[in-house]
Amino acid sequence: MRWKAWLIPVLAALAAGPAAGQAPPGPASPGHYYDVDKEVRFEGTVREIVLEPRYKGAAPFLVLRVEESGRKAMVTVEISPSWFFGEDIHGGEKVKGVGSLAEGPDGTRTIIARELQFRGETLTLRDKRGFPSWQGGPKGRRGPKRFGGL
Amino acid sequence: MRRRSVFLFFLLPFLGVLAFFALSSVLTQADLKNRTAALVRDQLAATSGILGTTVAHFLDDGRSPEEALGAILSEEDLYFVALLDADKRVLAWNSRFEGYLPISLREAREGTSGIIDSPAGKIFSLLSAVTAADGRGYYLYLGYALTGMEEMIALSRRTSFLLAGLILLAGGLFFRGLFQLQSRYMTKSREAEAERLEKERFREVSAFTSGVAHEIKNPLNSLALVLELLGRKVPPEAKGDVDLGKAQVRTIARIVDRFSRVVKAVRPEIAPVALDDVLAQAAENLAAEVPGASSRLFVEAAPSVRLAGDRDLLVQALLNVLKNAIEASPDAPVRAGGRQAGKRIEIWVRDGGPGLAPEAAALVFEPFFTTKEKGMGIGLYLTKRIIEAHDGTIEARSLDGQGTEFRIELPGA
Repeated sequence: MRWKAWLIPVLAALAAGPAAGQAPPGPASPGHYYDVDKEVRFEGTVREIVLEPRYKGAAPFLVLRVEESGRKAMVTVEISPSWFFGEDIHGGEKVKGVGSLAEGPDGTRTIIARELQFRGETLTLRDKRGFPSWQGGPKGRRGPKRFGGL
Repeated sequence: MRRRSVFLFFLLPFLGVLAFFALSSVLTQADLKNRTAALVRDQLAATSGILGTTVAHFLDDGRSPEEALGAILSEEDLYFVALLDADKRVLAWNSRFEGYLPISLREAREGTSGIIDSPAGKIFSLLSAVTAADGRGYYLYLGYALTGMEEMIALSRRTSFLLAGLILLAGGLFFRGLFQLQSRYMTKSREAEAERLEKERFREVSAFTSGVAHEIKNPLNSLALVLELLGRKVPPEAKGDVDLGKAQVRTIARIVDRFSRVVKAVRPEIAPVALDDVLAQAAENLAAEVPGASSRLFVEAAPSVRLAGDRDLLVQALLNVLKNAIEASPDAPVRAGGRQAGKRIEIWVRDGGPGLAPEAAALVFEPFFTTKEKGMGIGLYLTKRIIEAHDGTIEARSLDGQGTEFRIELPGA
């Protein structure tokens, strides 16, 4: 199904409604973490944009369903908390980037994105070891004491 | 001591202290970092041992790996933790940061420890083996940081910078003060040296002048006596020549007396004196010495103004100034006056002459300096000595073409 261009705020409102009513996901897959040994490059077209709770106690994440170029297979690309992603992104847009291949909370093939390129811009979402950029610098140490991944 | 030497004498030790402090700070901070790192490693090893035992206990009780890790969530300094099976596959994990589990399982070996430089600070990691009661092997991977360690090191660095800044500030203030003291000392030294040279020159001039005056006076007295006797014996037509000779001898004697007065020490006998009386007496003496001077001299001084001084010496001093003014302005009036200014008395003498060139104004009180063809250059010099002997000051100010003003300050009575 081809998606028309959607603005992220509209999608956020659509996706956040059901997500907010859901209970936090059950124990996540042990493989759902940024594994430095499984870094891959991805490239494709955005087919779906959703906001999903990915980590326990964390804000909903922006998640893209991307149809990979050449493979015609769908892959889930985990981006960042929605508040951190300050760009508009539309269905049908070409994206590419670098991330770690992981198993999503729902067992699907997932890429935890470290860098995302679209419209000629590169967004850095994590450092080379997977430390999330939205956690900031030293102040992040005093940030919310939450654990995720279970 | 020369200024450069003074600065080297004080500056080098100061720079040495500063360098020592900087080096000491750097070494202390490096030592602090090393000690802290060692402390964290020890702490991590101990924590790993305790948590490993706890996890093994839960696993022995048949709990799942998630439940086993859930029991150790409360550890505050733990940034991430993972439980791996014997093949190093992640069974369960927790992280303070979403999806952050920095481990390369391809390379990790038991006991492997490392320091991960993250935006949240340095995280110390350790992979340790855990063995359950049933003999199954596991690995526990921990990321640990001492809360506040970075803040403590940053605080130490800030404190060092602050102390260095204070030392620099104190040093700057010290050297500024030292510079000012040195400047004053150098100025006073130069003044003292100039004064010493002036006194030495004066002593030499005095000795020479006294000797010359003494040598001249004896034959001069004899010559005056001879002329007196000769005047009684010469015929009337030669009497005029003898009188001329006697007048010349008196002129020579007067000159010698003036020189003698100059070289004598000035010792004023201080008493209350009326300023108008001193000015009037000086004007009267001037009229006697310079015919026609009184018609061009205008004196104005309030009768109530009194000063502390030696009347005769002050009359002499003012006479010299008035005479100088009259001679400097042959066709213009000379005005003199005085007034009380607080505890001091101000006296001024203004002439209408051509004024003094700046270089002449600076030398006008020097002995033997004169701009007049027949002057000897001792009148104003003597005046200055008399005024200074009264704890007073005298200065000459002149604008080209607008005359000269002599301003004298003396203590009031």
